[in-house]
Amino acid sequence: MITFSGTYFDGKTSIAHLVEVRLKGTEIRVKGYSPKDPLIFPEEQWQIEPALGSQRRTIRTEDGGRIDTQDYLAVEQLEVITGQNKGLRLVHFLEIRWIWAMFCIAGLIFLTWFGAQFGIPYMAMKAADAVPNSALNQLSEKTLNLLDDRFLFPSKLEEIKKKKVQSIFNHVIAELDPSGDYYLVFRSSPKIGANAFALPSGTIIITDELIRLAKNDGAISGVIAHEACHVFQKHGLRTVFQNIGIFMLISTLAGDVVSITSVAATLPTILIESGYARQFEQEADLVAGKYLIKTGIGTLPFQEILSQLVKDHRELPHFSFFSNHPETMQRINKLKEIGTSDNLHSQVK
Amino acid sequence: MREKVHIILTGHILPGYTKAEVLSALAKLLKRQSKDVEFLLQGTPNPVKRNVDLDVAPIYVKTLTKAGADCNIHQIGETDPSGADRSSTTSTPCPTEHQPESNTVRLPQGSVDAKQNGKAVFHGSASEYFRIWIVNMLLTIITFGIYGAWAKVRTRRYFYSHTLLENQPFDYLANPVAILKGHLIIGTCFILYTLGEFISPLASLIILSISYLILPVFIYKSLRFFAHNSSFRNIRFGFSGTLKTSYITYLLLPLLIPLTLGITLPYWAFKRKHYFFSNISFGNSKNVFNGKARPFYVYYGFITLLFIGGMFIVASFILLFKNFFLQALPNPADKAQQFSAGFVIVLFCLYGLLLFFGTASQQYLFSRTTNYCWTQSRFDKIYFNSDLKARNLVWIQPSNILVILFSFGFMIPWAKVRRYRYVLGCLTVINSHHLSTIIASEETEQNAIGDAATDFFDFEVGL
Repeated sequence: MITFSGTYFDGKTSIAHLVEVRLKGTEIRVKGYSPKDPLIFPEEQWQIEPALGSQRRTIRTEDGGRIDTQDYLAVEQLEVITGQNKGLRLVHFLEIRWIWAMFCIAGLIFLTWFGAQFGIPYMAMKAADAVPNSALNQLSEKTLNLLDDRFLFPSKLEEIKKKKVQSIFNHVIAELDPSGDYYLVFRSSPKIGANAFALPSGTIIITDELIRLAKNDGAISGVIAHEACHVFQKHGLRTVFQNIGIFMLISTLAGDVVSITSVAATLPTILIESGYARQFEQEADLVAGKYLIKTGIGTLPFQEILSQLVKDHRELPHFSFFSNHPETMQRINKLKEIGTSDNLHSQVK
Repeated sequence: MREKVHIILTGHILPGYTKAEVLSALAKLLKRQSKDVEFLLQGTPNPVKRNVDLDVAPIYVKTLTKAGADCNIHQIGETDPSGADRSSTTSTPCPTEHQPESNTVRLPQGSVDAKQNGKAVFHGSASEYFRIWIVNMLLTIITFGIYGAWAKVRTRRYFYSHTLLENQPFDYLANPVAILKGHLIIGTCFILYTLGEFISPLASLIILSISYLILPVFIYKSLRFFAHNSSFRNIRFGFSGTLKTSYITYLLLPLLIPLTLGITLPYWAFKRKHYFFSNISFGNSKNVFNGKARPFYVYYGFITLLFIGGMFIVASFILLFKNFFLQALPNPADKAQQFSAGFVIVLFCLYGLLLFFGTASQQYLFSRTTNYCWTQSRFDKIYFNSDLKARNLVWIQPSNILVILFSFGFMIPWAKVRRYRYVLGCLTVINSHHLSTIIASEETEQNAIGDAATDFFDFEVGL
């Protein structure tokens, strides 16, 4: 028989009553509240609050009463006998031991890394695949309209030049993604300068400035191959879903004290998001590089246009200071690597 | 901080008085039966009043001396006379708050003094909370956020149940499933908003305005949920604010702010506090809140002046080093467009300064408005004093942020406990012995069923 003393609150007044609690079978008897008879609660009428930290243990009764006690051992025995709080008892077991806390730290670091590295990109890819093409087309159309309104102007390129770029475009697409639905759009944009964009539907926009900047056709094929990769790998959609995922992960981690750490929490988010963007750029560069090598052009024209783009760019200065500049150098070096390793490979052949 | 002392009865009767006289006088002073105070005159020292400000202590001494009881002032930090008694002498009855087991509360409740000020004390520790926090985090991540609701309840319960007032803990009774529902709804809203932003600006605008329209419902529901699930001595708190007031406070008034060029901002801050403080109840006693909007104008006005002054200093600083900045600006002819490292450092410093100012003014406003609202609150005979110092919070908060940053977030529990301890330590409950006489609200039973709806939401509102 388990007996322990505690404080009873009846839930009607705030008076504390000193009581003695006794377990008989599966019912508990509370002695000391009413002068005559003990209160009797059968098994289904009382519930043990899960243990937490070093707080007093609490038993709630169905009529709104509450018994507090510091007899931890007795309440633990009650829990075992009645089989209550099985799950949270395990949680409490983890919580009170430093060794498990250490395992949790390790687990947390691993899971965060794993989630950001593999979990979120994987789920984003699945989500992007689930988006129907009709939605993509609609979306891309709207985006193009928006860009036309704000940044882009009709192309002033000569027809011959356009035709030439179009034929390069057709070649690249035929090689990289023949079954895909691609569409080339010419625009001029003094505001943005030399650049190219891919919309999720397969629309690829090239600015006149870029075509003028390109010294040869190889450079243009490289850029188109790069953008085409963004399309068939669904980089745009995946970026959106990944950023949602990262936001949710970080806010789950920092959620406890958003007010304190809102500033601190944005930093990792930005870092991880730009990491994702870099990965996608690298992937697209790799596809472009491989295409150029395969067609015998080599990566050099693409390297050149990348470095020209950096010089030409009229982006926000702080942007170039933080990421773009060193990043482009890395990208060029990477292309050089692909080029040389492949050259060696072909020489051996 | 002012020095605090205890008032101790030596247990002896002053010459010229009879025991019966002194007993009845003491009983009258302490509002007890004569036989209940008899033990105070048995020749052993007993504290009758704890934590008195040194400058008001003589008043107590004078009153007690007049009643014929010998007493003295006991400096805090010296050995506790009643504690010493317990070990040396045999059967000295000592005040109930010196019971070794805190749960063996004996009636009459509380200590023997007539008017008593209680302090809520936090008994948790950062290291204990850290382990709860880390387990919460891991389980939340593993369960894709579902455990988050349980984690929230455990966190709240940890802080509540380790907060003792008059030696009794607070309690948080929320059902995690209800919080999970709330989380799912907020999560869905967020995903809809993000997808809407992706589909068209119009869609996200529509979603945003819908959320804005139902926000007052969220706040109303969550305040009810929060109050109803907080309890002390097994008596629940309650929130009686109306949905209509919530719409006025959280929809109408914010719309007025831009229209009045920000002049109604302090009024809005006041109304938000008013919505909470004037509608909160403990058992059957509703809070009587006497707050006025005027002090809010003073606090916000002070911050505005400080901000203007700060801008002035920064502007003159920039003018002073004009050449430096002009040189550092990128040359339009240079296509690479790079800022000098020095310029970037200065920009960072300005940004840091702005962040610091923002945090500091937030803390200032928090401390002032919190102090004000508590002192204007009264539950029946219980009233409050809050003594938060803006300068302490301005030190605590930014240093907390830095510690969190440099520990990669692992010191979050420590930072949270540190701030909570300070804020709690500044609150005094005056006449706290009346807490044991509160009766549950008549509606409680009815609410228990009717408030199934309250269980629907838990939505964090910074109060």
